[in-house]
Amino acid sequence: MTARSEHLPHSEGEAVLTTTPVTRSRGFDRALIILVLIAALAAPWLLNTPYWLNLLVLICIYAIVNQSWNLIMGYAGIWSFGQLALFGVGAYTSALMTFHYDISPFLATLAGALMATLASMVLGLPSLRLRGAYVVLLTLAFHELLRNLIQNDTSQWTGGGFGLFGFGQYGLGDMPQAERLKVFYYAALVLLILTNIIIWRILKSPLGLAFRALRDAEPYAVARGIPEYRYKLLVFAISAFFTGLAGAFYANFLDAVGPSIFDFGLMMNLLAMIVIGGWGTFWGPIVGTVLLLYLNEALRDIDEWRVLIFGLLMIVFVILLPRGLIRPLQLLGDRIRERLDGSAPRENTP
Amino acid sequence: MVCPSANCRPAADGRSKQRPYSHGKGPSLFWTERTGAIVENLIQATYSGLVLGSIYALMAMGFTLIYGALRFLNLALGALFTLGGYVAWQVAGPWGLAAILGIVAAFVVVAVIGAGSYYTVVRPLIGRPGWDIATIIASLGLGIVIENLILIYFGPRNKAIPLLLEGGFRVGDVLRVQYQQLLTIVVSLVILLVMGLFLTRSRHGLAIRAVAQNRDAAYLVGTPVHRVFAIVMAISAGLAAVAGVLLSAVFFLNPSVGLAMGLKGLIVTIFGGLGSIVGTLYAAFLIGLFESYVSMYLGARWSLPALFVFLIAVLIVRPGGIAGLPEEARV
Repeated sequence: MTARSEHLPHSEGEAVLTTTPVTRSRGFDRALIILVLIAALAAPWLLNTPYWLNLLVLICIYAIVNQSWNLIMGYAGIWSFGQLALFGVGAYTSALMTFHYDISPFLATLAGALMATLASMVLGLPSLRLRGAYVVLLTLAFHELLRNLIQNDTSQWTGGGFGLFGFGQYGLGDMPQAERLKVFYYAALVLLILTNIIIWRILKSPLGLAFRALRDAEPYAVARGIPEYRYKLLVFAISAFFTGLAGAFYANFLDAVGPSIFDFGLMMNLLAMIVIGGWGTFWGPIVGTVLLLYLNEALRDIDEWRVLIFGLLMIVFVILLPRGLIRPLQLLGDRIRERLDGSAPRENTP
Repeated sequence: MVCPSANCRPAADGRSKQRPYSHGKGPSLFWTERTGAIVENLIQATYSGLVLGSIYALMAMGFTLIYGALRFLNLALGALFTLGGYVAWQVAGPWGLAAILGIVAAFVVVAVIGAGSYYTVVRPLIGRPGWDIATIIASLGLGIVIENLILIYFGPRNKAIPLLLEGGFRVGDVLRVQYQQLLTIVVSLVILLVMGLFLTRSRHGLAIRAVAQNRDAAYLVGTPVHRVFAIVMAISAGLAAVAGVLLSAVFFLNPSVGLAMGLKGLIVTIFGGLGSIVGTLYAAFLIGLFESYVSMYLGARWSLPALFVFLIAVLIVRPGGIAGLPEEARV
C-alpha cells in the first residue's frame, strides 16, 4: 500500500486532532478522580494480606511503565519496543550501585532514572530519525542486546544469569512484612500519581498537542514548524526517566534483579495491558494494568493458558475495540453524567 | 590441514596428530601449523555461514514479501517458523512418515494458517487510521497465541527432527560436510529460485508485484487485491515454516526458538532494505557469514551483540539498508 495511512478516510472513534473545545462540567470528573484516589489510599486496609499488598505494589510499578510507554507509543506515535529494556537499565543501575559501591539506595534510584534517560538518548539518537519498522527493529534489538550481554556475562559484575540480590530495601528490610509492604505501596502510589500528573500536564501543554499532531498528520505538523526530531527525543527522554525510576524502585522492592526482567513474555503482557486498557488514552493504561494483573492472579489455576488468553485478547481488542476498554467505560460515564447534570456528551479525551 | 606444497606428504611416524604434514625439514616459513589452523577455521566458518545464510534467506523472504506487498511487518512469522518445525516433527517423528513429507506438510499447513490469519486478523485492520501499528500489535498477539498453543500441545521439551539425510563426507582434511546441511542450502536455493520465477513469470506473481507497486492502480485494473494479499501471507508463512524445518533439523526444536529467529529474519530484512527481494538475498548470506565468523573468532556469545552493533552502525550510515531506497526510510 503506497498511500500513507493519514490520507485514508478516518473511521469513527479515532482521535484525529480533536482540538475542538468540549463544554462540560468538571465536577463529575473531579468527583470520579477523588473517588479513585480514596479507593487507592484505602486499598491496603481492605486487602490486608501480603499477597494482595504485593500485587498492589506491582500494579503501581507497572502502571508507571505502561503510562510512559503509552506516552511514546500511543501519543507520540513512536513504535518503540525498548521500554522494558529501559526499565531494566533503571533496575540494574540502581542494583549495581547499591550492591558494589554501597551508594545510598535513594541516590541509586535517582541514578537509575537518569541512566535510563541517558540510555534512551543512546537508543533514540539513531532510531528516531528513522521511522516505522526500523524503530521496531532497533528498539527490539536494543532489548535483546542488553538481555544477551547480561545473561552471558560471566564476570560476576552483573551477576549474569543468576542476578544480584540484597540491596536492603531502602533500609526497611527489618520491618515486619505487612508494614513494609504498606510503606512500599504508598511510596509506589506517590510515584504513580506524580508520573500521571506530569504526563497529564505534558499532554495538556502545547508540547502534547505537537506530539499528537506528529502522530496523526506528520507532514502537516512538520510543515507547521514542529521540530519533529527534537520533540521526539524529548518525549523519549521523559518517558525513559519515569520508566527507569519504576525499574529502580522495582529492583529495591523485590530486593533482587536478574535477566528475567527482560523477559519477552513480560513485554507482551505490558503491551496487552496498554492495548486492552486503550492506547492513546490517558486512563487506558492504568485500567489495563489493574485489570490484567488481577486477571493474571485470578487465572492462576489455568497457568499455561494465561499468556495465550492475553494474546488473544490483544488481537480481539485491536480489531474490535481499538480504543480499548476505556471507550465503553467513558460512554457509561457519559450516561451517568447526563443523568446527573444533563451536560453535553463528551468528546475524545486525550 | 592440507598443505599446498607439492613435495609435502604426511609424516610416517606415529605422531602425525602433532604435525600431520612434514616437509622433510620441519614446517615451512609460510605454511606453519598455525596458518593451517586459521585457514581451516576460515573455511569451516564460511561453510556454516552459508548454511545459516540460506535459512535466513528463507525466513527474511517471508518478511520482505509481506512488507513489499502490504507494508505490513508480520511479527507472527517467528511463531510460524516454530510451528513449521513442529508440524514436520509430528509427521516425521511420531507418525513415522518420510521426512520429505514433513517439509511439504509444514509448508502446506502453515501456509493455510497464514492465509487464514490474513482473513481473520489483518484484513479487518487494513485501511483504518493507524492500521500499520495496529497490524504489528495484532501479529504480535497472533505470535503469542501460536507459540503458546505449541507449548501447550507439544510441551516445553526439546525435540529433534529426524534427519532427512544421514551422514556426510569430508573435503580433504579441512571441511566436514553433512548431507543435511548441503540439503538445507540446496532446498532453500531451489525454493528461492522457484519464488523468483513465480514472481516474474506467473499470473499470481505478476499480480503480487503489481499490488506491491501500486495498490490502487492494481485494484482499478481488476486485480483481486485481498486474494493477492492472502496468497502473499500464505507464501511467506510457508517459507518461514520450511526455514523452521531446515533449521531445527540442524539444531533442536523447542517452543521459543521462533523469537530469536524472528528477530534475525527482521534484521536481515531491514538490512537488505525492507521490501527489496534481491537486497534481502545478499543481506541473508552477508549476515550468516558475519555471524559465523564472529562465533568462530570471538566466541558464540558475541555473535548476537556484534550483529546488533553492526546493524545499528549500518542503519546510521545507510538508513535504507544495502539495497533499499533512501526515501523509504525517511520521507
